[in-house]
Amino acid sequence: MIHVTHITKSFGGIQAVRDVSFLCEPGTILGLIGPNGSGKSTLVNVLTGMLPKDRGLIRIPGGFGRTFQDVYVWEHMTVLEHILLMTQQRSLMGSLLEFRIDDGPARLILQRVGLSQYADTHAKQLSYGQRKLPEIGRAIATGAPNFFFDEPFAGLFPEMIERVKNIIREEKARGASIVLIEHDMSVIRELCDRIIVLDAGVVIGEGKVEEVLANDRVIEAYLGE
Amino acid sequence: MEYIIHLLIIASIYSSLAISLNLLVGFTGILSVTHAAFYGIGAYATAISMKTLGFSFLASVGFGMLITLGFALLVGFVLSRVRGDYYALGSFGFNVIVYSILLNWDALTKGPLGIFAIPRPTIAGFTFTSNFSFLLLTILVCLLLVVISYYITRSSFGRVLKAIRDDELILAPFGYTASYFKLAIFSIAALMASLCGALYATYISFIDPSSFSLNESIFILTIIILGGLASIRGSIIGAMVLVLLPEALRFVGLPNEIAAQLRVVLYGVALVYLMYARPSGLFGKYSP
Repeated sequence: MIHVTHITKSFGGIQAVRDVSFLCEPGTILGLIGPNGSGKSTLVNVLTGMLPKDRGLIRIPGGFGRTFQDVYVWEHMTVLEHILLMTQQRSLMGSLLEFRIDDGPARLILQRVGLSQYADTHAKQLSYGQRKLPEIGRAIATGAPNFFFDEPFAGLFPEMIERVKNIIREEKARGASIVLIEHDMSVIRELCDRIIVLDAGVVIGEGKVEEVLANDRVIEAYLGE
Repeated sequence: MEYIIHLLIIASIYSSLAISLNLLVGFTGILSVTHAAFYGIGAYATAISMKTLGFSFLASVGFGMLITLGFALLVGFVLSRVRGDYYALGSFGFNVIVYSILLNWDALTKGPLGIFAIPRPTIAGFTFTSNFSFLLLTILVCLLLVVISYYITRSSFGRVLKAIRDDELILAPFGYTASYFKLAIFSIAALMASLCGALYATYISFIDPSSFSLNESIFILTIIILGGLASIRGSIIGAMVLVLLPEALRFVGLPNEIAAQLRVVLYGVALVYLMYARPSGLFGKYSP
């Protein structure tokens, strides 16, 4: 479950996110949409602790996995190492005492994201689109019950898009709460149970996909019509 | 023969220093130029505790490492909260402070006069009086540091260090506190340098602040850049090359009147050429 209430975030005098609240239930996908610069990624960065919030409450029991709008991989590490970092001990002492680690679960995840043959390849040697895949693998390898996928389909080949859609559906079926940022409305219609629409950091629409997309204010803000 | 053994002892000590610094610079991507400070703290703590307090060699090494750990935690705590150039500048400042203390706290360190007649180590009743036995001791310590470094870099902890090197900001959302890991590896490297200081002090039997200046930190940094970042083997080869090359140049038959100056020039040319031919170092596994 991802439950946030009254989240506000400012940069200097500019309010990037203003009083945003939503609930993403287990086993559902919540689409987070809005025009460029509407505050979607800022909101996700606040919710995942990469930016400090000004105000509001965040409840994400069980932790989360996430991907980033811009590709963030560890370029000099292999694809397998990206996944192992999520399946290994994460505490200082725990990791220091762990010399050997079973890489079986990590390799299974590489299979799911279609990167088995690239296990020992450094991330910097992957194409831009391929670099999205270790990110997605890294997110699901956390085993967390909550996910934030920030434009996970950008730059992917069509067959990869289908693979990632399936992964998201599988995680949903597993009971995960998923927040999906996406610009492609056909993907939003296909995957999401509900959506919220941000414009200039403010929620201007929330509810079932088709109802919200038919809302005049949303059409005006998001589609500029 | 004694000359060669002496060179090998010095090269072994520098290999150990380079291995420890490579954990920080090569494997974690932290540009630290303060390694000579911890090397010096270890040397002085060992010398003072053996000569003034009458400690045994091992107790002195332990004492030196304890003091080093205190300083490493304090300095590392401050530095682990910054990145990149700021980290390098902060570590630079610490080396200057330690050097100034060694130079000016006459009552404790004897200032520029240094401390002399430091006894050779005695372990389990055996005194390492001969240079050959001391060489075996330095090689043993070097091997110990190789094993520890091998373990660290291949453990799950080492994987986190590599991630910090590439981009520590991405670690935070996944439950890692990068500053803890940076502080831990900084302290481990400092403890290793302290051990090297103890060896150096008891081998040379005389120490003064000039052996632990910023130049020394830069020399150790040069060793690992030349040998190769993130490479244990490169640390050792780099130390061998930089310690032995100037000595080898003594035998190339340069005219006596310009030999000393020309050796320095040739040494510099060789370094520039090596960096040009192999920018990632002789055995480098990481090139920023």
